[in-house]
Amino acid sequence: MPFLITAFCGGVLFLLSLRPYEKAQTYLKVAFMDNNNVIPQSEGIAGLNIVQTDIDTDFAGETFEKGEVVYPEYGTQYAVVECESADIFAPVYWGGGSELLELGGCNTPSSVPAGGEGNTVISAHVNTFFAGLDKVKTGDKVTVYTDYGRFTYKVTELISFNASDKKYLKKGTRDILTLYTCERDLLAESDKRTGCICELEKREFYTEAKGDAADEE
Amino acid sequence: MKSKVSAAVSALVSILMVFAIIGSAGVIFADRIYTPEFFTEQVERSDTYVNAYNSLMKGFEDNYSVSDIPSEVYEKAFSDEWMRDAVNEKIHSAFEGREADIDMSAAEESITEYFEEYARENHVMKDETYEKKLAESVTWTKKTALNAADVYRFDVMEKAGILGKLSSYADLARKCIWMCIGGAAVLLIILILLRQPVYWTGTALFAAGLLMGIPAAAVLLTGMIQRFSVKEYTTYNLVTVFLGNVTDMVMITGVAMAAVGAALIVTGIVIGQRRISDKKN
Repeated sequence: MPFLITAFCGGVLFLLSLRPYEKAQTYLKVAFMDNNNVIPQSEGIAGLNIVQTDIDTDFAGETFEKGEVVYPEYGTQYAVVECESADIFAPVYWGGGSELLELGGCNTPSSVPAGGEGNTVISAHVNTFFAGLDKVKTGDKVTVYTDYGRFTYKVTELISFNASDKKYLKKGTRDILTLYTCERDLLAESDKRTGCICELEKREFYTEAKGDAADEE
Repeated sequence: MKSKVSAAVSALVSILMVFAIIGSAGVIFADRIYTPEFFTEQVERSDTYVNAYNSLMKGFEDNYSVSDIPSEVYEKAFSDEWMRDAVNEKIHSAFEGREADIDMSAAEESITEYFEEYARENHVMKDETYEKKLAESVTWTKKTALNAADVYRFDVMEKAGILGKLSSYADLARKCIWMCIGGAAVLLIILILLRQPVYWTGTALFAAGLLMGIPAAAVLLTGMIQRFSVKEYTTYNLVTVFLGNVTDMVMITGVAMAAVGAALIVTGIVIGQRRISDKKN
């Protein structure tokens, strides 16, 4: 009898809760939708996997003009950017956000990796990795080293724009590198950004593109 | 025939008692949970004061490259104690339906002092740009700090109309407490008049206990609470601890009621058997 009454009352409660559950279902699904059960361990965004890589900046082997650009995983350090004239030598991570900006420059995933077709957009903090960006002049050389190649750019334009203006951050069709940071001045507008646009001068891939290697054979 | 009718009526009363018991437990929980004291207790249990303070300081550090104001300026203005007072004030003001009265004078003083020192060292005129930038920095700091202290996101809930609804449901629950308990008492009296209170009360308690305990246990075992989508550390920690404690309360109450109910059922059966053997003798 107790189990019978339990089953009967359970059935009644189930039927009564159908309607409220339907109304609350969407909110519950949104509020509890993490199926991977990621548990944040400390400040920051849980689930961000940061990978640091040892990039070779002294590659002396054979290089090729054509090759394959490797798209990295979000949070991976995939390059090093160097500009000797501005004393810039910084690791570059694929992604964005405060955790990655603390570790180096960030290559916006909506742009392309270095050496790719289109605009490679890299930003970094003005008080750390891009402290010397304001010393950059047109004609300066900028090199980006990756695991799949080395890419040389030349500064062609100095830029200044508002944080809400995305025109310099679009992928576009020109093979360029855009470096930018905040304009740091206590009395300056906090949403002002400054940087430079660099034209791609030389692509040096460490492995030949598969199509070209087959043609040679 | 008479005993079959009596048993049927007792079963019906027992079913009604299940709902009365669950209803009473629900309104008592709502009355206990929807209080500033309970909310504050959960904040203490989940180390939220420390987490919120650390999160606030990290936010100021991260903003240094944009604002050019070093974190030391903010460290003079904000402390663990300030965060504790601010969080508690935010919770109490949300329940009392008033604006939070949080002291931000130290922040304004510290930032103004930094700006004045900057102006002195760099020979900057205190013109319109200076005043505008100072006002912006103070406003942003106040907004960021108040946001960090609002650990339960009461402002967001209020804008979405959720806080109002929760308050009205809690008021309704409080009004219904005595109705539910009174209803359960009336049903108990009926069972006493039917001369079978122990067994049928036990049945009602057992059923109510299982219907509360099993779903709560299922929520805990499936890890549903850990699937909370907001992965920002302070909020995630607080919400999961809060929901975990509430679910634990429901489960423990359910299990206890089921155990008491089972004991009463056994006692009722034993009493029944004795009555039958006394009648035979």
